[in-house]
Amino acid sequence: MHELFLTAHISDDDRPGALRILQGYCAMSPVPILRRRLYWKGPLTRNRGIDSAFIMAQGQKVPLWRTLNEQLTRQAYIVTLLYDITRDQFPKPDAPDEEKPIMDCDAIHGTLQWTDLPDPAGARPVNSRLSVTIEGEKGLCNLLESSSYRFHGEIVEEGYRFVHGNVVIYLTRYLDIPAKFQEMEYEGKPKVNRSMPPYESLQPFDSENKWIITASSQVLSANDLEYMKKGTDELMEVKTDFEGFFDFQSRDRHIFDTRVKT
Amino acid sequence: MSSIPDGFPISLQSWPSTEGDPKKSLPFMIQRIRDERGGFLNANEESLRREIAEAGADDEDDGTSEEEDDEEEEKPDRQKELMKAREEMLAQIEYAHQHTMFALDFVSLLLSKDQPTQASMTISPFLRETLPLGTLGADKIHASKVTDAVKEDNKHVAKGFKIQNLNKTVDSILASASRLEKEIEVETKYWEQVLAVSENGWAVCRLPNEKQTLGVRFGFSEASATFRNRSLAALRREPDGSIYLDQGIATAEPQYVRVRIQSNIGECGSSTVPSATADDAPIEARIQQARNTIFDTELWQELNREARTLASFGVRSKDDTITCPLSPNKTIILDLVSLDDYSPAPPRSDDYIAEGISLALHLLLSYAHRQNFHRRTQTPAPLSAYKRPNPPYALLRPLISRVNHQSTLSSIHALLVPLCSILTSTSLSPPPTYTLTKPSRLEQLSKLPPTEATILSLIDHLQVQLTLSLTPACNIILKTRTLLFPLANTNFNLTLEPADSFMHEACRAPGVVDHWRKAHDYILFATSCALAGSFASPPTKVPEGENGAGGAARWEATTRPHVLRRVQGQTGQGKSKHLSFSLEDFTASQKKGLRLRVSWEWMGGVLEHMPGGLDSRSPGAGRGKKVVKGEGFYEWVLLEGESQVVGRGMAGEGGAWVEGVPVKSLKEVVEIAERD
Repeated sequence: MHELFLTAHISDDDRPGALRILQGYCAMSPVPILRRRLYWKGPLTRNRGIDSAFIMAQGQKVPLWRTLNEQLTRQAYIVTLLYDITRDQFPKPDAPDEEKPIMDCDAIHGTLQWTDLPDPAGARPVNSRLSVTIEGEKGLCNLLESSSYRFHGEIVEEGYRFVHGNVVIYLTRYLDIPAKFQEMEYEGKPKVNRSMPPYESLQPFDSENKWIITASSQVLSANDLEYMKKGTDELMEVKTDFEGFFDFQSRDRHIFDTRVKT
Repeated sequence: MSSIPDGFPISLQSWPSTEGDPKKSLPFMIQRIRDERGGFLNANEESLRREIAEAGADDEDDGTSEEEDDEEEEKPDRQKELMKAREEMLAQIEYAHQHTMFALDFVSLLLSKDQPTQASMTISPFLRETLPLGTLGADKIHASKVTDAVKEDNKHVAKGFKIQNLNKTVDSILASASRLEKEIEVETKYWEQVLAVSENGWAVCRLPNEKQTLGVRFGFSEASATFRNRSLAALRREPDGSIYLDQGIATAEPQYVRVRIQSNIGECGSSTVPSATADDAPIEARIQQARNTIFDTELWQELNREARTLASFGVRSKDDTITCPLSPNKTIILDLVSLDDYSPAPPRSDDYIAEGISLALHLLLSYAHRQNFHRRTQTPAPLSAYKRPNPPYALLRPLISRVNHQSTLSSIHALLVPLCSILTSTSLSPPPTYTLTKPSRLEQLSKLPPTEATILSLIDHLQVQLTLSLTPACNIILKTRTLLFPLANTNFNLTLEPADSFMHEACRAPGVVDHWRKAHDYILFATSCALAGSFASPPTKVPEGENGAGGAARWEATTRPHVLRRVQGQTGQGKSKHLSFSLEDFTASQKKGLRLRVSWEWMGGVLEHMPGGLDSRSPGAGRGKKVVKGEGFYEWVLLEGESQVVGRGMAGEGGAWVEGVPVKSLKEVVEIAERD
């Protein structure tokens, strides 16, 4: 699958206005997003990918897993696991440990997301990259651990989702988990938190607390030039429609680099 | 030349001399005299002499010597001065002559237009060569006849015109003011109505093609593109300020989907069709009518689309009407009628059915719109060559499913009500009963909004669970489920309870069957088996040499679960009697009914063989036939439309019919079978 996207950013003060504009533009109420993003770093050496027996047992999702495995064995990447959460799953600030909701990521359905380094800027006025998204899977943390992936860290993504035709518009910001709330196996090796810190303790990842607007369109195959053009045109139409409101741009592709650096 | 005014500026100054002392030149002196004395008019010889004398007296003392010197010097210069003065005079004369000649040339040229011959005699040769004759002329102009009185009159006329125009201006301004005032009133009225439309929840916006015109969106945002694009009308202003709805090229004729019910004898019901809005109705009523019309137009189009896919279910689209079977003798007829020329039909018996169907169709289209919204706001599938299907909305499909479901329920009741009546009349204890329960889907639908959950619970997964309690050892469970996709397919899941019931071996439930007739037959058969099982004892081994008659003979089960066997005499040598239980539909006197029959007969030497004789014998057929001793039957009959169970039968050699009330109990009949 190929993802075409453009990004813009706004300040926190402009968020209510942006929500109203997007609500009117997409003729829908915003769909709230609140999810954990767990980052797992692939091994630089002895990268053997995902267990082939596991892949073959995935039924209809075998092609997806196989595509993912091909990419992960080619290069060490940072892979993201997404888990939807609710505000109720954040403990109160002064709640004792025993009252904090336990969240075992391997026991709930999650989404595995991998994105490649975007293609070099060419004639196409939008960012485009290869991506694989596998939804509704349990035991993803175990799977990555068994594939020699190392848990790198976690942030919380908060935002809203809108749909306009074939374009999905996300208005999101990232919240960082303070170091004191990050559970560690030992010094220097974090592990996946079993419970979330209080919501109030989360810190905006961006120092200016900016919100990111991403307009994204998915194309099944990058070889299908007709639909690549269609996706690009729809994104450019969105860009034109928001001219003067949001400055959608095609960013430097290295901002979105997910490869593990040697 | 008399017309030249007095103040005409002609200078007759002397030609300036360039020789000698300029201060003593004649032009200078003449100028000096004019400046000091105002011209020669005020200077004469006498006054000059007096002035000189006065001046001489003043300068007598210090001027004596100077005078003497002057006299001495003046004497030799006198001649010279005279000559000089003569020259000056001649120059002045020459100067005057030249000017005179210029004047002559001017006058000659002026006269040359009227008297060229005479003028040519006086004009200078230079001018004649330079300018053609007649190039300068003069005419006498009539003196003005405008008198002071005329001038005064003109002033009055001008003042009158001015007043008249001022009055006109004032009138025009007043007219403009009143027109503006009226325009303001009209505009205020228009905008008040626009505001009222907006405040009542209608979306008011500018027309895409006429930016200066306001429009109202009266349609539905989730309708198909054709109808969504037609759902915008202009709010135009009448001359009196009222609003009228301009729908452009779209038809403004109000329309409505009418539902009628037709039976074998003719039309027996119709839905209520609203009356058309009057032309002078409030704007909101007209917007509502436009909304209803576009909704019904879309409903009609979607019904036609769907009807084409439901031909196998008897749905037909023909001659601007759609027909759909409602029951074996009733049909739904749908058509799109214009409200303008519609006259309401008188009330009829099935109006409420038509009204309900009409309401259901409108609700289902709204539900389809809601589904469109859900689809639109979900994350879209990746762009690819695969085209998303656009199936027709489910409008008639839920109706057909619901009708089938209701039909199934009716069939269940039609079977079980007489069945329980018959079984109750056999004095079974406890009396058999059945219960119908509808599994709640509230938990499954709790995530949906209440409106959608209500609609979905009415149209999808129509389920009923039937529990038929026959005996304490046997319950039949029937679960029916009517699905929307595939259309109107009802499944029947038959199971037996309790789990350790003897029926599981004798009369295994078939599980899921797809036709009511199969479930119907199984229920009758299983009931027969359950009744037989309630009188069966476990098979006992009769000791050798013991006479069966002397032993405790019991009814034993056979390989056919609805037939019991009782062996008389030694096992394998004596005759056995078979007791058969059967439940079946039958028809008598053109009336359908249900019959439970218990029959018994001897099976000489051949065990477990049951000829069709008594089982197939109808009550009428039994009359006049001889019954072998020890054989007989009894049956409980309930005809359709009757509430009283009739019992009848015969037993023994030459046995007589026993018919009527009181009806024998099943236990009594079995005892009769045992005694015979």
